[in-house]
Amino acid sequence: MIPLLLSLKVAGFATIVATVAGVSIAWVAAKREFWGKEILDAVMTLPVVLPPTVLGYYLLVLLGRRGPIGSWLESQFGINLIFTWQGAVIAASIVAFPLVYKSARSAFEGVSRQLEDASRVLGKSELQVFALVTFPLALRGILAGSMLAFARALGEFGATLMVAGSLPGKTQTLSIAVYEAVQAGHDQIANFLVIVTSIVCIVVLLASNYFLRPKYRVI
Amino acid sequence: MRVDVDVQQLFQSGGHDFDLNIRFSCDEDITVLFGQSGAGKSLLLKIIAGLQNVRSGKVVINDRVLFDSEKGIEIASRYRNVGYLFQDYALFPHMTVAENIGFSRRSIFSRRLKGADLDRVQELLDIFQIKDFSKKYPSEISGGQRQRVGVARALLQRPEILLLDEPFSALDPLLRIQMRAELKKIQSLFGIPILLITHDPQDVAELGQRLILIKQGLVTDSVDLCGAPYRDPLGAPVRPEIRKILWSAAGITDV
Repeated sequence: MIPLLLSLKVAGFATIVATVAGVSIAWVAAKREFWGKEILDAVMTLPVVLPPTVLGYYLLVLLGRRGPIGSWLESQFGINLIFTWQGAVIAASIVAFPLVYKSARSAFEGVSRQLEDASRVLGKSELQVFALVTFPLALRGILAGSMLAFARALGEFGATLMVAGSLPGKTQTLSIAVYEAVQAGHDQIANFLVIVTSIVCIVVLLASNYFLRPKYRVI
Repeated sequence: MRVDVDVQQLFQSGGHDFDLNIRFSCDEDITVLFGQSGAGKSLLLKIIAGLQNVRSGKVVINDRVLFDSEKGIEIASRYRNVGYLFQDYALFPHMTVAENIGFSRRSIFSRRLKGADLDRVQELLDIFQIKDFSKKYPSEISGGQRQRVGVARALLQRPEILLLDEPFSALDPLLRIQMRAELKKIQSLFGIPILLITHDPQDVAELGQRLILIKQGLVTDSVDLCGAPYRDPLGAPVRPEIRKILWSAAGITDV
């Protein structure tokens, strides 16, 4: 059960990170005009297209002891992310990020300018417009993206393996544990883990359908 | 009550230039801005409400300067205190009728209104006869009811002026007649002046006290409609010069 708990922990944190970052950047991309917007969009979408191992390699180079970010973290705070569960969270966040970003952006773009203008005329600040109108109306799209991100993070394999390795009880997540069990010929463990994974995924999907059912209709 | 508008702006989009140069004043209870689609009417309302930037000019309502390019004054939309009814009313689909009406008094943290604000919402629900639907969502009520909600929502904050963007175009003809009558009643009840844009001559005939004609971004005429019988029992304008103006503005020349 330890790989399952570890996977849930990593996927949970990764979903939070990906959602906060994805929603903020998606709002900027959907509601503001600036030069290089489509270039930003392409870069933000890159993690879906790149093979996870390539992403993992990038992260390893950046976060490793001799990498620019890794060496800085090491010298300033004594933090090392490689082969830790926090490193796995970073890998999973980046892999899951575009799923939130993409659905949040189209959800924000789906909120009509007129509704936002109506709230401005009714005396609301930009923050209030966002909190009372834009965000609630985009919420279903954002949640749908978060659910997908959670599912993607739960199944993450390549980038996590590159960055965090496969240390049993420490960084060995469910999907990596399945791979190791099969490699080692432990069919019973593999069967058990596969069934657990499938059940968790089905529960997540059912829960998301329940939470995402529409409560009102857009005219 | 007095409105002074004098704005100039060149709009460019996809090689299509549109030069807006509008200047008018009015002090009537209901002023109708009349012109064909694309004449710049909606743009003008957005400029008055501060939803659209302009390069140069002035917007003054009741001696309060909302915009003055020379003095560098540009008050943000949220502080202009104008009521705005969008063409399709722009009701918030995720809020009930009562929540829509109370929106301007609502804070981020609490869904519920308190004391005087709550009383005011109840009062408006009564006046507009929409109390029975107060807990319904906009998608669950009819077009006429939606319009009432839109007007009530705009009136909650006691605006200096009510801007109406083709308020009746989304309604069927019979309902239009009823809603025009209601609007007149509401106007005299609240005493808030109305600036209304339309391309329907009936609106001019039924409601207008001053008629301002707009053609391709320019004011071509401003007519005082008060003090003379200007419509027949069916609501058609009878004063020949007004009929002529309306028809020619609508693109009909052989009157």
